[in-house]
Amino acid sequence: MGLLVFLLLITVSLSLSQEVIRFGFTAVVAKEDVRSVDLFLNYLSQKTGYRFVPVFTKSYDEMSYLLSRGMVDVAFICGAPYVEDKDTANFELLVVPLYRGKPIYYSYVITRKEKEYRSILDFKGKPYAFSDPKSNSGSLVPTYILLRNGYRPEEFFNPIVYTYSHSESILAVYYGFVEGASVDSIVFDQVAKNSPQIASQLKVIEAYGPFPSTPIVVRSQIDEDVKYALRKVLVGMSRDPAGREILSRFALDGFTVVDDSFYNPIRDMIAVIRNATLVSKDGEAYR
Amino acid sequence: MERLIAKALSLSIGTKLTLTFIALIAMTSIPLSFVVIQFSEKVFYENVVKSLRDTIVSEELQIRYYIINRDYWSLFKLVRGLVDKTAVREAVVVDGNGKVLAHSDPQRYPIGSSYGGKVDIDYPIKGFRTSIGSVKLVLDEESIWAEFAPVKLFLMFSALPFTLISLVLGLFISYRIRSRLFRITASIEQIRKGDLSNLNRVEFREKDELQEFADFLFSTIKALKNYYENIDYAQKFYMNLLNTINEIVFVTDEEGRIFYANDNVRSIGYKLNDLLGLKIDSLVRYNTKEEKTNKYREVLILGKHREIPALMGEVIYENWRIVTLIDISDRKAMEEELRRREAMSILGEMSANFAHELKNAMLPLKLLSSVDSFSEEDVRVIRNSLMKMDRLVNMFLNFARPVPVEKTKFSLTSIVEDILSLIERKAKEKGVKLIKDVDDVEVVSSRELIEIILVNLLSNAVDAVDGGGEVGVRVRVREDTLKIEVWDTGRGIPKEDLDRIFEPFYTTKDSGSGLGLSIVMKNVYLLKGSIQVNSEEGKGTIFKVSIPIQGVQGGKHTPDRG
Repeated sequence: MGLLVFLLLITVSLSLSQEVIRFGFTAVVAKEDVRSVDLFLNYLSQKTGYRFVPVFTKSYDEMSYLLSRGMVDVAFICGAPYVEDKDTANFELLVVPLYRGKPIYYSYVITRKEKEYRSILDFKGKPYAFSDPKSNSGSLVPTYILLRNGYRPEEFFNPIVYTYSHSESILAVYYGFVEGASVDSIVFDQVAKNSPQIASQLKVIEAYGPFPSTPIVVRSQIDEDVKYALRKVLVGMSRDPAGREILSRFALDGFTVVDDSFYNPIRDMIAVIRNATLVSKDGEAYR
Repeated sequence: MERLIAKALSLSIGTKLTLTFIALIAMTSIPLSFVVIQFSEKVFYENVVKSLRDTIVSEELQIRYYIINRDYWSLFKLVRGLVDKTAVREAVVVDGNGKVLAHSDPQRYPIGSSYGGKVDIDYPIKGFRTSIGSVKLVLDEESIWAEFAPVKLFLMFSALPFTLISLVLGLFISYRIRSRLFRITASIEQIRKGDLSNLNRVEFREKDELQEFADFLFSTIKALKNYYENIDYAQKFYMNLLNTINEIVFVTDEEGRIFYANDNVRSIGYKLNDLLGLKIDSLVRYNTKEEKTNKYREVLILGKHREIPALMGEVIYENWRIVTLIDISDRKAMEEELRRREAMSILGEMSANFAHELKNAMLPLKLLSSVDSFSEEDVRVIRNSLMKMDRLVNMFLNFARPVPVEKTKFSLTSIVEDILSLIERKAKEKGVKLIKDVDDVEVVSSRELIEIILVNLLSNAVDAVDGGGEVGVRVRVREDTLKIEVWDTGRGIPKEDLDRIFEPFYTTKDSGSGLGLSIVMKNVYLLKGSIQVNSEEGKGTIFKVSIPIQGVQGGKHTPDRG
């Protein structure tokens, strides 16, 4: 009996002394690379003294929901869900990644090398891959472009294939399942670097942007000390060799802190799409 | 075809066994392999189909979700996963209208295109009530069979090791049977060569029919061996028995051809092998005088080096004639010896008598030799003595001189007539009646010796009778014997004298020389005959002489040439 009480006390004291922070990941970065995620979280744990647990979701909608319910504390999401859900799901910007030294990226239109498509507008009536319905580069940007050209994407493409992952969109093009795809430029560059045999069969025919990078957001209710500690470690990663090594696995150069207004271009696009009386695809995305 | 069957049947047991084994294995394993292959192929194919269906079934919930949500990419990953299996060439998911949602070859069948054509597996995905789509698979049979090929190869050749084992087994068993049969034949071969002592039981490790057969042969041969030994013993026993007796024994067939003779044939200078197949008649000369009906008859064996007198007996046994010959040359020699001794004793007695007579005759000379002068009476006595001595010596010489026996043909009547005419005068003087009874035949014998016998016997008979008596002569020829009987009705011979009457110089008469009956006896012996005397005092005497003769010439019915 005494032993049981002793073990219970130890467990409780340990759980109290080391606060668990749940870190969410979506298709923004290559979630397949769980090893990289582990290294990243271990690094954070080392630097902050907190214990980190990864939480993966398929879609941004799921992640927003988990954040709103306090089931995820920190998350790597996209600019579009940040803009759309930050008030309803109650989270805020922590840091933004630096790609090639800048907190910006592009939305690429890719196709197979031998295909003769020159623009996203050439894919009329063809199967075309979007990543997450809420992704900026993989959904919002091509929708915006098509709307601007007078097309509704769900009618323009036959059909839109949602892969919920930029890297899967790249594979869908590679296998010829879709004729083209809109993907995150950072992910594409990463695939080009890690899997040249795939990238060599593909080509980028258009690049839209630049757009503000996919941010790391934090639940608003979380302790300010935690926010501070995390922001400090993340921003300082690029100055630390171990940190740099982990950053390079994500093809990033570091993290920086930006103001909420940095995401205004995305806000503008969302406003345009809403005004175009877009029939929500959210229903589909949420199922 | 028949020749082929005959040839196949004549193959060695081993070859037949081996071929049977192989044929059996081939007959069972080849169809079996075929059936197993067919069955395995079917099972393998069905398993492939089933495992693919199972894969689809296990993912059915997901697939339903993907279809409802039009999650093309997940469906694509699914069909790609399916075609990654070697058995599947094409995989496609279509919606309820048959439009492609995801095809493993998207360039050929993009999303929304119609999918037709034959499929091997069509698995419908059901919604609440109706089918909302289906998963269709086209199988790559080539790759299925390619996957199955090693199994098929193994099954096809699975009979091979059994065939090989059966071959080896067949060869081994056949070798074993052959060697065992050889051992049996080898043991019998030894016996066949006559080496019965080496009869050994052949024993195998296998206690099977071959062992039974070997045992059967062994017991049979053993029984035969005992039987043979008994026969052999009996044969030796009887052979020895036959060889211990004195007779020469021949066994001939009905025609008299010799096929067996005992060891005694060596005594006549032959071996059995020399005589086999010869006729017994060529080996003996029969005495024609003897009756064939006699059980024994005297024959001459024509031996290799000499002729041997023998008694021949004959017994018919079934189809055989058993002929025995007893050598009687010893007996003949003994008879000869006896006769010679008799003659010698006669001579001895004669000499003693002769010496006695001579001494008596010399007595006057001996007495007178002491006298100075001889008277006339003395001279007459000396002369008489000398004359008596001279006569004695001459008689002796005449008796002792060998008389050549010359045989001629003569008439019995004439010879009796001649003799009777010599004594007729003397008989008339005494008033004795002569009675003659003679067979009128011609015989071959010594006329001279028979004349001497007749003269002496008849003159003795006449001397023995007084006036009014009778003297008779009867001469008969009975077969090969001449029988002469001379009888008288005279005084007879006293019993005490009967034994001595044939001694030379023994006489009861005053005037007799004492040599008459000796000469008769001598002549009878010279003619190989015999003489017998019956006498009764006061009644008379009869002499019976038997003389063997060769052949009778003529008879009473033939013209009398005497």
